[in-house]
Amino acid sequence: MRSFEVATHSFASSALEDLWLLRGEKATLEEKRSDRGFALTSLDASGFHITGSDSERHCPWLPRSLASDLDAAAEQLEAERQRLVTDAIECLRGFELQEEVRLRVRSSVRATSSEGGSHTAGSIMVAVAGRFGHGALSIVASSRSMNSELDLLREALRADEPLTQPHGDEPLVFTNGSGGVLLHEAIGHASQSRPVAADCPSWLEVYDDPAFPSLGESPIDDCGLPATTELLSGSGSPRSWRRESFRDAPLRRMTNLVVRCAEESASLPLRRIEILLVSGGHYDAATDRVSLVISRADLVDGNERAPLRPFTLDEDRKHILRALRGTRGATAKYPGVICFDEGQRLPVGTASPDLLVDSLWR
Amino acid sequence: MIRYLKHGRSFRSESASGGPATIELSEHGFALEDDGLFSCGSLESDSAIVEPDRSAAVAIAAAVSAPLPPNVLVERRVVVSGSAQHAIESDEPICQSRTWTENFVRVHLSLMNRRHRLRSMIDLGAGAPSQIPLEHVPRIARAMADWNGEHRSTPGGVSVTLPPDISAALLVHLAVFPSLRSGLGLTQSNHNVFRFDGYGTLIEEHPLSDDFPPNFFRPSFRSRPTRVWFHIDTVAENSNLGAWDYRAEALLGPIRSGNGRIALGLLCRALDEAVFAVEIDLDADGWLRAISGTSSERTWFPFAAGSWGRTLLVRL
Repeated sequence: MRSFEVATHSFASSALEDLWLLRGEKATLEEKRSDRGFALTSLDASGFHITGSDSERHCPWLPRSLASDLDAAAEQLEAERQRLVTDAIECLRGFELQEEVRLRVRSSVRATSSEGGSHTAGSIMVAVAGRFGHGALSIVASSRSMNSELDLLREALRADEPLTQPHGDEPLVFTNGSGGVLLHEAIGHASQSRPVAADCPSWLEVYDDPAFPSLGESPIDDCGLPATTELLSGSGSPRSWRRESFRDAPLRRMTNLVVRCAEESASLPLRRIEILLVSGGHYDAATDRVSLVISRADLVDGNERAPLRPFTLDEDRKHILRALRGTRGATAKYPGVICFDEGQRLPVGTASPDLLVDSLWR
Repeated sequence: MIRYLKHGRSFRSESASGGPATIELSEHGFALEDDGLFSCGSLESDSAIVEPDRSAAVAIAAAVSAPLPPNVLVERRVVVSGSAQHAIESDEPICQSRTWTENFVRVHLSLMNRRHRLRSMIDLGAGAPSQIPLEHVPRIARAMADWNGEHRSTPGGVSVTLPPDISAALLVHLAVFPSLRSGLGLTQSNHNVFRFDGYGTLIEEHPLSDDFPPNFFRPSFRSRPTRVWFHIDTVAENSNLGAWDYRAEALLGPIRSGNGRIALGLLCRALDEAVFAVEIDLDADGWLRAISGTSSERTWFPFAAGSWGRTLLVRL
């Protein structure tokens, strides 16, 4: 359904990104990217019309204040980004790296200007990817949550025990907010293409909440409109317009997926798989299936705990939702998700209580 | 030090979940490689680049969307038409200073038959709108509409033809196997428009070998160039491939490769016009034995750094 509430507006984006390679004690800056540009966007019955450039000289329509607002916000973030680079390198050196690890630190600023006023928002993202003995791991964090995400990485990397193959009949407990990643795919993306309310258990509430203090936090969307909270497990779907850069058309995408549950409803089975980190996920609207790559999980049996080999869950979406059993504990922020869909890569915040799910292997 | 400059203009017509959109961009960027560090960014520039062909892009977008049969819809469509001026300034032996210009048209189409939970994607490319091989789209859409959900196990003892759009995608995966490079006579070919690599070096014919590819791919000024084979092609044999039992009509999902195997999900049409889904999953030796004929006509597709599709006869 088209929406015509979007007024003609100017949009600007700016990003700075460093890629570092770490081998042992040595840290090398391999790649350094900057990107800055502007787009004039209008909407009529035939769709969005966007004119953009990365050169101000090609943008005669550009409001003078938009470029200066963008640059001021980017400059403000730059000192923080540099500090995070230093902190993250120091932290990673503490892991006595055996193999190469890639550290990517990216700051991005988006600015909109329309008749309703102007708005600027910025975020910093840290991604660590590499082999740490257990296989590839990655985290995505905002500057605000960087320290706790690095703690999580330390936790994930703590063990040198041999890895156990998952058997397949244990229930799953998504800890540390990782249940939000499962529901990002099974409810968030699914709600963009079909009604999902009838498939969701009544005790579960899943929101797209742009105001939630996490990776996607933004009170104004990328078309200059107030961002609204939507109940995705009801009849809602993401309403915020988002775009990766000035080159991209606005799409309605998730900002922060937040799972809430009125009351704690699940008790922990003695034998279970506890999931800590998810390195990738996908929802296929054609097949209505969800796949999730679990990069860090433990098999827990009473007081015993054994780390598992990375594994993939690939299951029918409705079957997953039928297997949801309840939640435990407070809502925890997951490091975050880089959501890649329709050619645009967007950071999405994720938060959830621990989520108990029946075994998904059949 | 190697300095790369790009000035480009493009017009894009998109249709996706956010609705239809047109995007007209002028981009001016640089990339610098100096002592191992790759850096890139935007440039302020007065450069005037020739305007992209908007009407051709709109006409192609309409052509690929309009005649779709019932039950088949466009999930995503991107048509882009543009031109780019490239310049290399180098004091390193790997490349010489050079400037060159390219015009390009690209089409990405994702078609879906939601009733049967079926998706097929196709990518087309050329140096001019009139050269885009649009004829593949109606064939794919028709097969998706005609499919009634039938799956067949991998047929043995039958011959299947793979059309150029499918064989071009397959070739990129086959080229990974050393035994297939020589066994199938895979070669780096050339293209009359996309003549230069990411360092402005002329792309010349070269048999695919175990050596590093001689050319570098730079899909954007924001990407560090990497060595890849360009415009991969196989040996042409004849235009009459002989009898076939099934004709592949559409590629279902991405080609999967791993553990020494390459698997294709296909919609095929039999001689009696029945349409069914089938998977062909072979190891390198299996593909070497199975590919038994190639057409002399070829069509270029924008898979990886380019590949030439020919109708292939595969005997299973």
